[in-house]
Amino acid sequence: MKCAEYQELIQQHLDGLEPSDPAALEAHLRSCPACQALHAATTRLRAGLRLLTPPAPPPGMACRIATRLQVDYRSRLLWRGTIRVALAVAAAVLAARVRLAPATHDSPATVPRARSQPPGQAAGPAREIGRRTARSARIGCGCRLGDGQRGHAQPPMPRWPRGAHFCRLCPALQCPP
Amino acid sequence: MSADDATLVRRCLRGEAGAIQQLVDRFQAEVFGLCVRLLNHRHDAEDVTQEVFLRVFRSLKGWDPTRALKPWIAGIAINRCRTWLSQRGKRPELVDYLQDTVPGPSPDDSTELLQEIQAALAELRLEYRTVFVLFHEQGQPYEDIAQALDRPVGTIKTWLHRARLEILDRLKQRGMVPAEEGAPATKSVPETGRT
Repeated sequence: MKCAEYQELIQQHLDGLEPSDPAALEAHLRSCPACQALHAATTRLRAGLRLLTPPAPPPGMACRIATRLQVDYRSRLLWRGTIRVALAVAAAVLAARVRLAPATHDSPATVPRARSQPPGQAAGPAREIGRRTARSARIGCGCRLGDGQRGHAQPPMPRWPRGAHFCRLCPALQCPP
Repeated sequence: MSADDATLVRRCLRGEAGAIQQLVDRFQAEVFGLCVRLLNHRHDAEDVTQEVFLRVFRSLKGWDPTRALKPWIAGIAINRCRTWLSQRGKRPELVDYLQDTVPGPSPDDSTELLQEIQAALAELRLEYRTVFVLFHEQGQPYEDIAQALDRPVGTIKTWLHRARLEILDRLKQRGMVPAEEGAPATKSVPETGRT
């Protein structure tokens, strides 16, 4: 065996193992000063390791940590509860809006696609108005409009009688009374 | 993995105060000991120990019940210490106990020997030190250390071997090894007590 292998054997002491061939190791140690020095150092290290004790935690540390963990648990619980309530409120608001939406003019069921669009008018704005309108009011042509929204196109189309104009929400032509 | 660990974790997840206290009581010595050795500073170690438990507690849901709890916690502690050291932005300070090193030889040099070992330990590379402390001070098996450090067992053995060689070198340099007259008898080597 070479020195490296003997040194492995010597280190096995530190693992708590006995060398497989102690006689051979002992014979080698008598003739090899380097391995002998390593063996002596290993013996010292083993003696020192028995004296090495893990640092003791300061008194009261466990209680402090446990208290902090409990506070953290409670605050996380509270936070989770708040998030749940907020989500529930948001969901309720959304549901209410969705329920109200079909009552407005722009519902796909109430506005058939086949109906022709008035000249210069697009379906988009009307739909948009309808979507924005939760609280709506009837106007002359029977359309619903939200508070504060102007129901008719501005300015009026020039070909029709003065004051006549299209409703934004339906193709009905509005004439002045 | 032990059923004890799984039960304890389940109770902790339910927020039972007794279980939380038990978790801290069971692992605080290992975590604090490891932090002291890796950071070489008791006050920092206290702070990091607290952080470690907070992190452990918040991550308990992610713990794999098929694996042991102790190496998992040790892994978190090692990572926290590493982060702390990188944030500290300076080399580890010498440990408190080095300040009162006895300058001259004493009749019984066990104190001096212990201080030399601790000083040598403080100068080791972080990985070597971690492995050395987990193996020799905390008595953890290679497999658990490998799991904590997320490295193969072979790497752990190599690191431990190198750590020992560095410490042995230091002991020799500092004159802590008796002069090598004659061959020491292998039979006379004291038992380690480790199994």
